[in-house]
Amino acid sequence: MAAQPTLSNFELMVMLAIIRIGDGAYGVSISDEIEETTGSEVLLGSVYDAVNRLEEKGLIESSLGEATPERGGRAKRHFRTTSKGLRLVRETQQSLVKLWKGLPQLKGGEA
Amino acid sequence: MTLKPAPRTATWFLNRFGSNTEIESVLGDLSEQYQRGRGSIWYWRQVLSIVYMGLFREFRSDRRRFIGAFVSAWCVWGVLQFTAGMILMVRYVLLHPAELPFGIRVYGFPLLTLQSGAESSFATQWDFVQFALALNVLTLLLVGRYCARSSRIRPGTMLLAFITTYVVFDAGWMVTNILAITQHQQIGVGLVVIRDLIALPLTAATILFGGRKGLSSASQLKRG
Repeated sequence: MAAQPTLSNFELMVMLAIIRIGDGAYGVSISDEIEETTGSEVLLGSVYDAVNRLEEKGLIESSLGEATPERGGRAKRHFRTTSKGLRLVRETQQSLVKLWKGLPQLKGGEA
Repeated sequence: MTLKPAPRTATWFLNRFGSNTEIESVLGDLSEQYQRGRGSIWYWRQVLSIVYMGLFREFRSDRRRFIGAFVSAWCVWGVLQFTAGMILMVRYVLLHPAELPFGIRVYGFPLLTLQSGAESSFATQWDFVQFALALNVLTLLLVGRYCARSSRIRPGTMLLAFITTYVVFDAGWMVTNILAITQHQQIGVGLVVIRDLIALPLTAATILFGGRKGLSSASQLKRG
């Protein structure tokens, strides 16, 4: 049986950004989404690094999209999650919620 | 629609060394952001992050092969540098037999004699520095060709790894020399600093030249 792939913190963020954006997810929109959510700058290099890893794990897939003039006529690389990827995000969420539950230090926003 | 031209050197650097398979879409993303008002510094930062994260990714994907190729490139550099050092010494001995009592100081491997002569009396001679510089550049050119042609990993990646480590190493060496001048007033070392200032940009250029030749021959082999 093949080992279940795991997600790093940043990979999980990228997966969630792709799910939130939907069909139009590409390098810039993923980076913008994470920047807006976390409030800190995201290097495009780390986004491409993460999407390449996720694609290798079979958690997302990519396809070339439309080219626009402001992109110098270059096509976008669109990303979407696979069913395996969605399942893993759900499992990760469940694991994290289990870990979160019953922690007095994290209650009431005092931490 | 008129596009604001993106920094050409950065774009060239990404095209040349980027390991991302979809480099066109990456350039498109960068161009899109740049047209939205991002500056040149932002563009350069993104390019460097993309290139060096790609380099690290290739390292992670096959560490043994990467380390093997990297170590062999540095060994080739060491052998060539040692040979160049020997040539310099023989040339000096032949040209200045009367000064032999001064001896020739040899620093430890891999710095060898190209840099070491600066503290000896003969090192103040400009022709020595010129000849050392020429040998240094030739050495790097040959290593560049070796990296591009013989490496078992992607030539661009190998070149980038070698250039980066060499420039870091050479910059450190230059700082050491500058400190030596300021602290000990060793004017002779100044010649080494001059050599470094010339060699540093030439280093990248010569390795890239060697790499380009290697890449074209590699692609010809692939087509064949």
